[in-house]
Amino acid sequence: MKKKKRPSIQPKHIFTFLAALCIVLIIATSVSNGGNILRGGFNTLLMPMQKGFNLVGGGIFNRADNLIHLHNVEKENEQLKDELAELKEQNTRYQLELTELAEYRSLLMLAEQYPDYETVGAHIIGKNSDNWYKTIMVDKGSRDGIAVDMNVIADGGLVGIVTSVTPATATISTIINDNRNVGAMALNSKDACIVTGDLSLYEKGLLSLSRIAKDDDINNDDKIVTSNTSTMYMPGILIGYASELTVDPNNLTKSGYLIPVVDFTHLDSVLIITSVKEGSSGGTEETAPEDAEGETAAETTTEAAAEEAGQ
Amino acid sequence: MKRVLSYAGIILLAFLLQNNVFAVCPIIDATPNILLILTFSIGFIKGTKEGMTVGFFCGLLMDFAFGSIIGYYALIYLVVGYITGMIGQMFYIEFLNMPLLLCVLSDFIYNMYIYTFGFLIRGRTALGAYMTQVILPEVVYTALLTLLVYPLVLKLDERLSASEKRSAKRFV
Repeated sequence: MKKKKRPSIQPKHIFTFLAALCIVLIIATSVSNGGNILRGGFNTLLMPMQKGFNLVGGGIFNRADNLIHLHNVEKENEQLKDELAELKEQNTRYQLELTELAEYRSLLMLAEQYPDYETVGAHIIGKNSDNWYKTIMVDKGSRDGIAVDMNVIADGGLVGIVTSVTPATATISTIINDNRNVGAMALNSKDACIVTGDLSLYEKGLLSLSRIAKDDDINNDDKIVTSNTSTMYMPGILIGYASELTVDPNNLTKSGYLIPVVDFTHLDSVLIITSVKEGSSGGTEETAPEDAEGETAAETTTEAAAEEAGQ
Repeated sequence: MKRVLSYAGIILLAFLLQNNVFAVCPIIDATPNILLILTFSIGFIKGTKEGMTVGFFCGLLMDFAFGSIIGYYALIYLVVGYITGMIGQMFYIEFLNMPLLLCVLSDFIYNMYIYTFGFLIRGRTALGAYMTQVILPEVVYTALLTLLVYPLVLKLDERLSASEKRSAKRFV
């Protein structure tokens, strides 16, 4: 079986060479963004295949999933109908208030704070198969006007942020990714907080919510939206609802969990907001320290809690 | 040449299945690592050289598609290919459970690497939770698929070896 064709290089030398190459690549690409050129060509080549596989395989699995979940759907339907009626009623009330607000705004000559964002729809064609990182790949890229740092939403909630683009694809780091921090605030009180992805909470479908000053008016079930002061996220995008808030042992801050509005396991298409927050760092690194610092700098009100950075 | 092409083919197939089908499917809670199965299977059957080359390219594929830095996945797949290659040389006789044992070993090495360099260095110390939520499910799913994929790789290798032998004879 093992025949020697020619006096060849020893495996351990090849191993050392390749390992060294990997390490050099790791260092080089973590310092600069040179990897994007390689990535671009490669992903453009593979995109059609990825899309095809996703379409066929995903179609089959989704059908199976639908069958499994069918018995829940009826019950959910009833519940949703009730909810819908309630919301309709609420909606009309809000609409009235909104017209009133518009009047007041025009009186004060105030610009709209939360404009309707322009979005581009995109299909998810792949997810990182590594069970550690929650990154997804979509079928729209720089050709469609997508750029790094654009925010991604679905189901009316924040999904994540674009971390790298190639002509035909874009990679999105979701907010449930373990190293993602989002500068957020409570919709009602405008008090600041930080939403952090935490893999150990992923199973329960939660994110961690922290660095709320103890006396801030954030309560369970409050709507948490992206903050005006966040460096990377457009303001006013719903993230989820606060839950199980407790005062931290340091007696200065509160923390708890956040129930996201987006169902990350059943996500199959997203909307990408085609404007980038001004003053965005432009950095594409997914690593925690930079992000954490970037967001903390914005969060002046919770500096007291900065000592728990990296927790 | 035939071998290189078939390896490229199965790596690509495994990559697409893994990232574009299994990972997107909502029923499976952990995605089996088919690229890893390929790496240790080929490493075990054909030795260190082919194992680590296949591993290296499997890792590069992952890096290009999802990694924020390039080389992160390539390094660990390379190491797995090399180690299983060495194991393959040590245990010449193939007994029944070897692929499963290798699967558990490689998946464990792989996940510990990601945990150490992706999580532990950021101060995430809850290894117990990660063990039950991330590592164990992945090992189970990967082990299940090993039962399917390993025999296929073995068969492919036999066929390739046979055709190589034939063409070698023709030249003599």
